[in-house]
Amino acid sequence: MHKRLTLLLFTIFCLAQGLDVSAQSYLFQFEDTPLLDAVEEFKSRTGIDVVYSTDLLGGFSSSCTYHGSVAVEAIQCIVQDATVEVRVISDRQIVLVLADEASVGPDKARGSIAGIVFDSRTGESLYGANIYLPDLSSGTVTNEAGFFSLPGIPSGHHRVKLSFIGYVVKDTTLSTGSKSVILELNPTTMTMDRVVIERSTLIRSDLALFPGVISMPVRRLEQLPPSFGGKDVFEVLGWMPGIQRAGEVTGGLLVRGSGSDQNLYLIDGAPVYHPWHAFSLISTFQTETFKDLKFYRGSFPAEYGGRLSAVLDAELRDGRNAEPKLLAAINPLSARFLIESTLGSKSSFMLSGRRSYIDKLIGRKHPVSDGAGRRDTLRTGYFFYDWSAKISFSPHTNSRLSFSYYTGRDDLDLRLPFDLSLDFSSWLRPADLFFEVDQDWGNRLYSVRYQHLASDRLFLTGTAYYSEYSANESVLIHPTQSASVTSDYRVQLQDLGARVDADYFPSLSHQIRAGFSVVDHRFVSSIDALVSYSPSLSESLTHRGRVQTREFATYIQDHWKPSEKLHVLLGTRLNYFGSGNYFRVSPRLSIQYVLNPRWLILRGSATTQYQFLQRIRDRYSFLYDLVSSRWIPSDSTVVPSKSRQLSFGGEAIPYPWFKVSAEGYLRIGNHIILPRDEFQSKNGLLGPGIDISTLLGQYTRGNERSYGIEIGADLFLLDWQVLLAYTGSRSENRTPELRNTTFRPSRFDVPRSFSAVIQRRVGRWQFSLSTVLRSGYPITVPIARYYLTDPVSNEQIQFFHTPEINNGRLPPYFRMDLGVGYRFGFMHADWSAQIHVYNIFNRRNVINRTFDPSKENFGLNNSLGLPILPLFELEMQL
Amino acid sequence: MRILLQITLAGILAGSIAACDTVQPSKVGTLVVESFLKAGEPLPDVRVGRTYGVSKGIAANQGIAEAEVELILDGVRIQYEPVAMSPGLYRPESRASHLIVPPLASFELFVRTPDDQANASGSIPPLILLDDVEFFIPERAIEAVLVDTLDIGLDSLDLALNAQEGFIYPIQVTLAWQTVSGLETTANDYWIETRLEPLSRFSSSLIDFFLLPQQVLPEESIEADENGQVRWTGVYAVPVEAVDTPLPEHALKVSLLRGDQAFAVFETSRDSPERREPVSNVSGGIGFVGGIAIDTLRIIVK
Repeated sequence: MHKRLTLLLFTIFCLAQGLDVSAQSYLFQFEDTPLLDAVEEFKSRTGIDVVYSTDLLGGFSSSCTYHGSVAVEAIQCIVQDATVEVRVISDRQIVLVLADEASVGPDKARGSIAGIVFDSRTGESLYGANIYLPDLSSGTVTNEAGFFSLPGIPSGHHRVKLSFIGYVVKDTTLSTGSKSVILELNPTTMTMDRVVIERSTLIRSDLALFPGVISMPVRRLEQLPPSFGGKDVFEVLGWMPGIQRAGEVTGGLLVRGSGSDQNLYLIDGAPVYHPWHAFSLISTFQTETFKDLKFYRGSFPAEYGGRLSAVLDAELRDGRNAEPKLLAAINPLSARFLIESTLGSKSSFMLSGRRSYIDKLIGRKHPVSDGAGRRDTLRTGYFFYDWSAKISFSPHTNSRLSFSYYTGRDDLDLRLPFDLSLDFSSWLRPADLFFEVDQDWGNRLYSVRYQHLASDRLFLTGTAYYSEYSANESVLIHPTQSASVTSDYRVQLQDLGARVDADYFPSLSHQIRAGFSVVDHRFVSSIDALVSYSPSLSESLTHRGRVQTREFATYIQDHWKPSEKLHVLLGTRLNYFGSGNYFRVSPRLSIQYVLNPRWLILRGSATTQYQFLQRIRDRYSFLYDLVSSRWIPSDSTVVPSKSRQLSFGGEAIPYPWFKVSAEGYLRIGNHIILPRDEFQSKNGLLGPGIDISTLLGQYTRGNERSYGIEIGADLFLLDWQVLLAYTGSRSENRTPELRNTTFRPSRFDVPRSFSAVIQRRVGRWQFSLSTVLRSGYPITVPIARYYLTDPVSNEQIQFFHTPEINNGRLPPYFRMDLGVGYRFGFMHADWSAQIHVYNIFNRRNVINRTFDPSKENFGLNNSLGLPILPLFELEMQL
Repeated sequence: MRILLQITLAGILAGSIAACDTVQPSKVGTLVVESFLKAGEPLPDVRVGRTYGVSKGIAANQGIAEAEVELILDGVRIQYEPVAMSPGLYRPESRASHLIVPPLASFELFVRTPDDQANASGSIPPLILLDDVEFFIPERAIEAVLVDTLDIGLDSLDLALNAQEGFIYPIQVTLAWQTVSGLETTANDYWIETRLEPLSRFSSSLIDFFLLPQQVLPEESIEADENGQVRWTGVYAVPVEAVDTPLPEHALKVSLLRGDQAFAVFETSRDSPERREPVSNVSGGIGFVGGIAIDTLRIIVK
């Protein structure tokens, strides 16, 4: 009777929805077929999503023959031998629940529901999906592995609403007591021929429970305008409030005015110390290679440490696609590919590569000769590359093992005459006076991660990694026939680390995460340099340095949900750093209060962070630390840097297509390493040497403070997508040890910054306009002039008086870029062609300014930014 | 609730707009004091002036005529008097004009003007004397790069690497002098500055960068022989037209200076006026007041 009623309701429902229920005819014939297989076949042949717990159907078989046009009758036939009930949720979804179970009652015993949520299309686990129990007005969010647990709930069936921005909301019913459930969500898509367009906000606000968190769906990032090197995570981050690049197109990532070395970059749990290619033009973080990205500005949970300013935690794709995927693309700087596929039912892999190709176009080696028979080989080699690979193995649904590998390197190999010009023929000859530059730098890391659902309340993650950053800088210079400079400089940082993290769910209102880690740091540096001024006069510099230390950390944090409106993340982190014997405690507190889920969600945090490794570079010599920089550990003379930060903000989503957020912060930093002499820059050959104490002599400890307000808006309506960001902030520092007690603007202090990205899709076309308008960087402007006399010649030498650093500012920076993309299908593949015009107004921004006191007035000389540049990218997906 | 949100947003907007730039214009007219007390020589003049606006001409007068200048040399107070017709220049009072700056003496200089005051202190180094100057001149000129700047900027795509090649005589010069003896000195107590300066400058700064026409170094970093004599060798360049052009006759000024660490910092920080101003040792002002020992030779090289 019940089944008949269901069938009747389903038929009425389908008719009401205008579905042509009689258009399809189904034939199912099963004979003692495992029920799970039979249901899966039903799903694949009808296209109807069937939600169920494997525990419900496991152990049953199906013996059924159905020939008809009503899908619900077919599924009822298939599951007739199991004690399940068929519930029709929608025209495309059916839920199987345990038959004849009473609804949830208050007297029931307690149980739990745990499981993992996957993307139905890619098969990848979803981090941040909401699992909500409407009857209990409670819920949780999946962790990085897609795992969730709802402990301590009444035993029985529960209505569950599964949601995730960018995915179709799923309503289902789950039962307590089962082991773990597998849930799948379907992406929201708008299909147009072979082109799939996905809609979602840029930032997953459901994960941004606390101030400063940016958690970005990679699928959304891939749709943003490409940069010089293709789709670049760091370029996208630059569109967010409070984040900017140090240079016009180069330089590190600056978060809230901090130094670029205060950011922690992680790939599958392993640190990346130099995440840049092409002299910081592009980053090593290619958007397509990642499955998930989290970026923390200023405040980060207790599980992260070792940096003051920001954390980028990226997870490589694991290739768990239902279908094999091949991506290939080319742009002016590089060509890249990505392959991912499953390997049987339990394994999958991802492999991606990228390489610049300009050296292939102009050649790396050029044999040359002259009329006298002299031969030489000039070299014009430069390239960079990345390899990323990941293999995942899931022996069963409760555990996963993955191996990740990343390597990226830049290689510069030049041997050129000094008098080269753009006329190649003028220098393609053997040269007596030449320079050789042989430099390479990069990262390599290995990571092994094991994730295991130990029980319905405990999830464990173990990670072991090896990360290496190394740089080699070799030069040979012959400026005269009798003078030469040779130098071979090497620097290396090796990390061998392991960490264990545990998520424990004691109740619905508490989620406890705890863990510990140990890292062995090794720092190696060496130089062999010889400067020959004449055949009989030379100076040499030889040094070997090696430092090793260990770092231990443990943390515990509780995500406490005292009510549906209030979330509290309370944690603390304890660090021990071997070099210098430093114990440091970093308390972290973040609070979210939902005043109104539509109009105002308030967030605040108070955190303390420590940094034990400092990145500094020599400020005197041209023979080392040119492209690389050196990380040095804290020791008895270098106290760990400390930062305390307060953040407070709010978010409103007045309409589903519009979100606005604002956040204010105050950050105080102590023991920050700052240059002792701001005016000193590289101006010599041998310099003072590479010994760490010598290097530290060029720096002093200082204080920094920054404060500001960040406003962001995200609008997506119909075919439009708009991202707006405004930052009003100040970043200042001082060096009391040098008796500079007044805070001065820091090197990259930007009081105001506005950026916007506007995109519109029209059919297969996509148009984008992006712009940035910000204050110019601080510069030191002379306020007066005077002269001094040479003690030997009595010659008067003019100087500018610059008593205060950064007392002026470059003109405001403004740039607008235009992008046009076209998607099409060709040869059974999806293609995308994009033209990106950099700086469409050809505005030559002033990026640096110098002054010459030997000339009247300022003797001003401006360095200008890049002119208008058209760029292209062609991408193919199979 | 909507009103609350609007109020919050309005507050945020007002706060963001108020994020003002705190860069303040600085005052002009800082006191400039300059004097080199040379060991074994008469008391020097003291120049007292003031910085002036960058928009004024290079030759603008900056002297202060109404300052009080006092030097305390080894405990002896010496008043300075303004020099007529030379605003800003001060000479020792007439009764002290015969005094010689004694090596190893300590000194303090005070300058007071109606608006501000400055002072500097230090000590006089031991005398220094060039014992010997040796030359090594190659028989033929050699090829060399002749250019003043090598500038590669990635952001701006400014690629200025268009050097010209020419010919130079790299001339090696060795200076010898007696090191400080009989004193308890440390490595940083005395610094030496050496200079090889052709009186008409031929050479480019790029050539000088790869040669060694001048150097500032701690005196103790140079090893002395058994007689206490130390030697320093440098190289300067004389450009010529062709490889077979004979070395042109030219005058060379060889200078040897000794000073303290403040002098070394001052000298090494004043070689790039377009990049920075020198590091001063004057409290309450800028400039330099220091004790030095100096010996120079003018040599005709042919």
